[in-house]
Amino acid sequence: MNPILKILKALNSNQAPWQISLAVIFGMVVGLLPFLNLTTLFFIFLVFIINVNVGIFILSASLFAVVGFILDPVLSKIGYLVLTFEPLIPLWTAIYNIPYMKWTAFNNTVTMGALLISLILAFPMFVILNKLIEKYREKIAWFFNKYPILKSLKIFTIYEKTIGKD
Amino acid sequence: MKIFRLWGLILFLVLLAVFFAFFKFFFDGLVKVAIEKGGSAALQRPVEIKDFKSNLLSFEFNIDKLQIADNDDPMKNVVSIDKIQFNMNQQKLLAWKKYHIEHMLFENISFFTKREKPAKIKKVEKKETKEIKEEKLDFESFTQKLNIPTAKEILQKEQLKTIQVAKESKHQLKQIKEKWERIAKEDFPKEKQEIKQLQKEIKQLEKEAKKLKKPQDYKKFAEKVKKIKKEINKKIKRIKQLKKELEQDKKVVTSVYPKIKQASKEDLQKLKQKYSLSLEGGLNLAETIFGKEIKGYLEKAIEYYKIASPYLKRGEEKQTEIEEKKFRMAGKYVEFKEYHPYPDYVIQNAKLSLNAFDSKISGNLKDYSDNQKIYGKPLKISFNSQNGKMFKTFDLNSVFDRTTNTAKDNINLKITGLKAKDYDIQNYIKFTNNKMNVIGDIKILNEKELKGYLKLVFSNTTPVVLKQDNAGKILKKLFSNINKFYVGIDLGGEINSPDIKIKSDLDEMLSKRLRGMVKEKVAKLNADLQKTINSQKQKYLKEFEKYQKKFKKYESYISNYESQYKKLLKEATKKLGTKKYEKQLKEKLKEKLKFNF
Repeated sequence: MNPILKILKALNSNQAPWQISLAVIFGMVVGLLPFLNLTTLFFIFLVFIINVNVGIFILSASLFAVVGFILDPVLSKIGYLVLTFEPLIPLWTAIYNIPYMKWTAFNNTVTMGALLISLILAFPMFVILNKLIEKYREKIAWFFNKYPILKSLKIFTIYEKTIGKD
Repeated sequence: MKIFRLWGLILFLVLLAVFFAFFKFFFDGLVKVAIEKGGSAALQRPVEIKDFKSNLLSFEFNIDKLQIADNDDPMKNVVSIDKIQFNMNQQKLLAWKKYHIEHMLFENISFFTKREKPAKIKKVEKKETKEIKEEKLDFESFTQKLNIPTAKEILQKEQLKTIQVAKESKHQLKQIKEKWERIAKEDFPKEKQEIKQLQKEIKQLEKEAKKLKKPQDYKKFAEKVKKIKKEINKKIKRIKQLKKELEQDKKVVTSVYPKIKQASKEDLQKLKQKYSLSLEGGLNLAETIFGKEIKGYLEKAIEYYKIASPYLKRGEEKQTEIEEKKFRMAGKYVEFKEYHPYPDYVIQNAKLSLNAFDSKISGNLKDYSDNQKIYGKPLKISFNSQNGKMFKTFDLNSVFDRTTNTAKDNINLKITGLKAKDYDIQNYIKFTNNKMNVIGDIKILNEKELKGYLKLVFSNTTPVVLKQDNAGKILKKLFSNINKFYVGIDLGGEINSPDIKIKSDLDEMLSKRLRGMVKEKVAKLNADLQKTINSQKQKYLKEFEKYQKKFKKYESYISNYESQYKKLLKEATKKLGTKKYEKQLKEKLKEKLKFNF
């Protein structure tokens, strides 16, 4: 399916805005993380068990993978600063000495940088995206009522049903 | 709206299971490719494995037929190992990401074996390697040196100064000889006659003196006496001149003698020098026969050492610096202090079997780790075997110690009763039936400073001369009964520019023999030259002696004539003295005046 169409479908689906926002955020984390490790697997696991939009997650992960490709040097530098930040070293050392933690690759500069940036951005993004989706849906509902031709694209079926139900 | 979805968990687990199943299915193939690609990149030569099998439950791994191809020959392997088997400590790997192998097996490690299929050799940018120069013996000049000509041949070829001096003097001597022969033939008889004539004339004048009466007679007589005395003086003067000339010519002739003697001396010296053998530097046969091969092996060993060295302390050198990133999935791992430090890679024990010298030599690798400072034990590799097909005993013990800040590596080798291959020198001579003992000890400090030696003691060697030409004959004599010698290799310098010196008592033995052969030949040549030059010298000197004898004869003639002339002059003065006849005339004139007055 065309990604734009996919986004439109999701935006106009009966899912709550947080489901889409969280999917984008998970996608951002997984996309920015450089490779498959326990950290990535953990976020994928979250995607599966939390009721988020998987399609949006995949799209977001793909998009942020490209962003990550560009930002890797910056992420690596940030990760390095964090990992070598003197007051935090005892914490990292303690984590480093926990069994299986090495497989999370937390001590990788890009992983740490990506994780840190995506976690910092997560909350504001969540709030902003929620708001945007809500605004968007209001506009689309109005748009949908105004132009019946768009109705024939059947993008809004679910939303229509939802609206109908509401 | 539900926050969690149960089906998601189930789906996740299903997908995870599918992923692992897929992973298991493709794991072996993926690892095979990874080993081949990674190995080829690391070693810069094609690495292939026939099969890789794993058991992810027991963490057992099996590599079949590992081949590392030779970049220069696609049908040859530099190293091949039939089987590599190991199991990893699961707990250490899963919990701590430590690759700990407790037991490992390397079966049939072989070097330089033939391949069944050609390797796909990529064009690798060749590092600038020092070309090992093959030392070549200049047999032509060597045999020419030994092929000393006879004195006769030399004298035919060489211009003797003796002859040159003699020839130059010959013309002068001939002139002198002719001059004096002419004088002896023409002048000396004349002198005899002239003396007789003068004696006659003096006697005649004596008679005339008795008949003197008139003053006019006296006057005439006085004039005659004066004339004869003048004549005698003239003759004396001429004789004196002749004597002087003879002296001068004698000097000329006499000067030729030392000239010829000196020239003959110089000739002998020059020819001795020219035709004696210069053995400066010796033959350097050990370098010629074994140099290229030994240097080749050592350079290869050093090359492998340089490849392997970083793996002995990789754990120590984990970088925390961020390198410029070129692609995703890079980044750097920042290492933190481990509460219970342990190297990332450890092989506790590995059994090795090496195919060398047509035998299987069993070995042991103990305590490999990528951080010996943490592990606290140096890597030890040893190979020991007895009664192999080509040797009696084989012992190789090596220790690679990185437990302290000073890296200390030691390789100790002892092989006894090794059947060595045949060696030949430029197809001239072949050493067959070689048996040798090899001992060696090499130390490398800080992966840089190289120090050590290798000694190959050859015994039971039979030298066979392959060419029956002149050089071959000389070599046969030279090498006869040489069946024991050693070749020593001294190692020094640095690993990047090793200083390899090869020495051997073979060179010493041959030099000694050669010197003996040469001494004999040179002594004979010197004697012959002396004899021949002396005979030349004598030939000229005999001629000279003849001259000298003749000069003595001429000298006596001249002296005789001189004394005779002087005697005549004396006689003339005494017998025909004018004063006596002046007195007589005065008395006669007085008497006449007395009678007149």
